[in-house]
Amino acid sequence: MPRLVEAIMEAEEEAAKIIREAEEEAKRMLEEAEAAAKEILEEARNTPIEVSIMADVEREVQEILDKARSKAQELERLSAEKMEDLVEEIVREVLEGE
Amino acid sequence: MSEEEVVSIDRESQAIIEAIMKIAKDKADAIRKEAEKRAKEIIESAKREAEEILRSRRERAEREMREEISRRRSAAEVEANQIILRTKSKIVDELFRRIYKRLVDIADGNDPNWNYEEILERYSIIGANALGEKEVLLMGRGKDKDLLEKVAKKLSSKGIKASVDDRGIPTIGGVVVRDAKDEKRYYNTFDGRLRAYKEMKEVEIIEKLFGEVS
Repeated sequence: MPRLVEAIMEAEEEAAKIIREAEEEAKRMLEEAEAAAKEILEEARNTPIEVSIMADVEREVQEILDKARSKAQELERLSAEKMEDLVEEIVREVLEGE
Repeated sequence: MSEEEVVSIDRESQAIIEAIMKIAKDKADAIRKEAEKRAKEIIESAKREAEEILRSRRERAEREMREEISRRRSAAEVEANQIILRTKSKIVDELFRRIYKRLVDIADGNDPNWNYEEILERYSIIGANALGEKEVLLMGRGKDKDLLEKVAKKLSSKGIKASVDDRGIPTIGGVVVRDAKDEKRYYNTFDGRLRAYKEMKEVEIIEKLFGEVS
């Protein structure tokens, strides 16, 4: 009978060791998972975000300004054509108006 | 104890040991499986959170980009309006600069289409009538004194007693008519008429200059 008790005690020790190893392995797995999760979140926070519509607005801004400059030139051209007649008309109205 | 009894006890102890080991291995397997499951959940949760972070960052970047685009577009439109306004202002300034020069030429007798003496006479009569005085004095540029003397004579011949005030006035042309006591004045200078005209007709002039360009 003492041999049986001794054998059972040895088996229980071995069983406790198996469970302890499994618990340590489980702990390691969870720690690795936590580290991997942290890395995933860090990457999400730091990955550069690309937005590719800026080039369009540069072109649009240039178009707006070019259009304004073109209109300004048109104004200068048309007003130059009218200028002399308008000077005469206004001089007459200034001098002869009531 | 017989040999058979010893063999029997060995078999029983072996069965107990195997049972103990099996329970331990099962429990160890369960611990590992639970850990694997939990680790997988942690990763999946992190991935979901990462997707949410990326989505949120992308939305924010796009919103900021739209705001930046809107700002740049507005700034460009303001700049475009300023280009047009500066051009219009320059053209209007040039127009009035030319008008001013024409008025100076007319007052200096350098424009054959206009008789400055007749203008002074007409302005003086208007001024005298407006004042309603029997006696008036004419004031003008220093260099118009002789012309104003002639005009004064013409007015006198038309029943308006007029003389010339020796004091000259700073003007490009025209006349100021005043009463004898200098209590009332009627301003009919080119500068004043031009200023009044500009105030009254600027919108109309701008329309004439730029109306066709939309």
